[in-house]
Amino acid sequence: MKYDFMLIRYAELAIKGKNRKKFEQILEKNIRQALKPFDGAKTSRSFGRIFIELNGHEEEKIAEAIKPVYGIYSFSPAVRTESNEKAMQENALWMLNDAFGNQHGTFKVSVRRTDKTYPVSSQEMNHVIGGYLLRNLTDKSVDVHDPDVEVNVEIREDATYILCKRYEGMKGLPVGSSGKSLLMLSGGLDSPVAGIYALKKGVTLEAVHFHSPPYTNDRAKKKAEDLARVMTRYGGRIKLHTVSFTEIQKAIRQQIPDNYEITVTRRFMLRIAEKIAEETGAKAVVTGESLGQVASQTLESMHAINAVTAFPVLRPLLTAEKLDIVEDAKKFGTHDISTRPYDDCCTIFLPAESKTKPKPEKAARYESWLDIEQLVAEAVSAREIQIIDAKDSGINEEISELF
Amino acid sequence: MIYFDQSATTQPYPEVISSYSEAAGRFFANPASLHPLGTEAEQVTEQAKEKIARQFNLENYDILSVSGATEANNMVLQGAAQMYKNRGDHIVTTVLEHASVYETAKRLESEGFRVTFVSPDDDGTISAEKVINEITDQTILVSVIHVSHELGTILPVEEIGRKIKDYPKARFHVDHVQGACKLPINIEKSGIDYVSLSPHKLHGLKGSGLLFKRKSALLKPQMNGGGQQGANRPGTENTAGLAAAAKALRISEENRGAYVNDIRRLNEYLSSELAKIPGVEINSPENRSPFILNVSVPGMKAEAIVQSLAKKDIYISTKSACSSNDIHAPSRILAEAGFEHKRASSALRLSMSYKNSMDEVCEVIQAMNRVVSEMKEVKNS
Repeated sequence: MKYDFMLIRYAELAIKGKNRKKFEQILEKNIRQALKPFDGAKTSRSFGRIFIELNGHEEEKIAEAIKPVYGIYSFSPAVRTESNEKAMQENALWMLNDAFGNQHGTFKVSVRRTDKTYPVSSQEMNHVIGGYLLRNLTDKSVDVHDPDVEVNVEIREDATYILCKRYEGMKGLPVGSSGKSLLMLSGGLDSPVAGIYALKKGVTLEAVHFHSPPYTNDRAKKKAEDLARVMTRYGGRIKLHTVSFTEIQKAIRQQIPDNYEITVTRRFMLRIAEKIAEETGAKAVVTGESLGQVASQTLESMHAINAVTAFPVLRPLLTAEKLDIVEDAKKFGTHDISTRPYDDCCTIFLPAESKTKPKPEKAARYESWLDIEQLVAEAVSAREIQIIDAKDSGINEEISELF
Repeated sequence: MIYFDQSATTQPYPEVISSYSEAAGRFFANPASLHPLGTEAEQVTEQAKEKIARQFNLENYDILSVSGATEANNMVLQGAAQMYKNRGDHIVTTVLEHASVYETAKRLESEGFRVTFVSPDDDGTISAEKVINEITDQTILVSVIHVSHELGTILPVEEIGRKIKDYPKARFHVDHVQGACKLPINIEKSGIDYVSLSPHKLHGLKGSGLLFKRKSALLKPQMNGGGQQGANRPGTENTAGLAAAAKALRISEENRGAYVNDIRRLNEYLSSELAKIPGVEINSPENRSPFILNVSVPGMKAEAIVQSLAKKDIYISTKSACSSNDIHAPSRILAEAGFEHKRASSALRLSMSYKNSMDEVCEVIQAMNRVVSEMKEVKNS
């Protein structure tokens, strides 16, 4: 036996009102995107659900592919079968076994009969199917109030549909339904997690990464690319802007007192991010900052840094615990990349001490010795832009002949 | 030359050798070095691992490059035993294991672990239940060979793996050396934690083995050093060896798709024809790898048969090459699998790969016929 299609439920509460139709369209598009590698797997929408015709593809592979798509509440593989007792019973048994694996547990059967010409009532069908399942299963019992697994049977005119196994989705809103933001992506643990949280709220992301050639290792830049590649699982392709920060860092090193270096560095980064955001149409900047985590992330620091932009700076991790961020990074698949030991640009010229309570006025005064506009404009125009695509394997074609 | 000792080792594919020599020459830098040459070498190393991971459908695994499957097996048995000894002191394995598992298990036994060695049933196979029934709440590791290197017996490792999921304390290791790219298994889905692999049995190169380790399954490192490969296996990584391994595995997998049914036919024909020779008995069970056939000629010296065939440019083994040091001792595995002494001490292993043909099989059958009847005459005169 095999599954015929996948039924996808989405969080209805979150998408009430006029926007609902738009949300549904975007979600369906994102699901189609995730299904690209599966020829013949088709999507359709009806009755507030999205359906995928599996067309022979393995249900588990499809589940894996759509699992990271935001906006999905839950989903279940389903079987389409003839409307006769034997077919319903046998399919239900097979599906229940598949749902339980080796586990013990409880189940319940719920039959709905939209085809009223079917001669047996729903109530009776509950018994016909439930009784058959009980006779053919050991270690399983019925619990109609709080079952571990529910077998849903819907008898319609054209056929009978059975659902059983249920996967939890990522919830959230479909990516692309909430406008665009620019993520400041370092190689660290926090920023990719922050980015994925932003994606969860339906935001489309572009990312900006700062490096300091020739002082930084190419591997630091590759780290950012690899992180962006993981993020594409959740949000489709990502445009990555890589900005060379070396000239600005040199200027800061020469002109700015040690204890204001970090603050001024951050202010420059934010100015550059704002310029790129303006160009690309992003309406906000996302950072991985977490309150009090390091000297530059005290409230005073944020205040002093934030003063250079009028753009909203979104900080999804603002109040998160470091340990929880680490757990999220593991769950999202960014942890092992983030913990590779290569320095990115901010740690290369790090001063010995930095101020935990910098003042914006002071920072501005020190900066007045620099040609801010020109430094920013040069860095922005010299940036390198790459599209990181989910399809892009990250395998270097040039050396792939070796394997 | 007719080479029927493919389970001992294989002749490398020419493509594998050229991959090795190109990678060794071009990407000689230490992959851990910070400079761009190091970055390049690291990229080759990582991408070779990535290719291997994809071929075996592994997402949550570390691909560790080691010197060979013997090292991998030692790392797993000792490393898991030491890592998880606080959870229990019991290990389950089988009598069909390769010496690198069997001897390590024996040593752990002498160090205070309790080890259960499961034996095959009368039909020569070991059922999943039989292994699972030995698991107790003290069991920390189950180690099962996928395809017996001597008899070719296929063990139901996927089924065992699925059932071990009910015992969260027990880690599961599969010695996949004779099964990889021949009889594929679903490693990740079957809950297998550690897998040992040996590319030189698949037309790769000696000196580069592989260990797949589920990320959540730990091992106490058996060597101390510079922390490479997550400190699981320190030492400068073997960039060229990995590239060659990836290539050998890829080509073998392609050949599996194309030729595995041919090999099956060869094995069946070989077995049915050898069985017709008076005095020859088939040791391999029905459910065996198509790449291996084990037979005995009780009463005759196995080594004499190997040498007479070699005179005809045909190369086969007695027992596994790794335990041929004491050539007169009976095969430990056959003896423990229940074969009587005469049969266990006259066993011959014929092992094939995708490179062998029906013509070769026919020649081997003819030669065996002649050698066995000649030796009988010598004995009788």
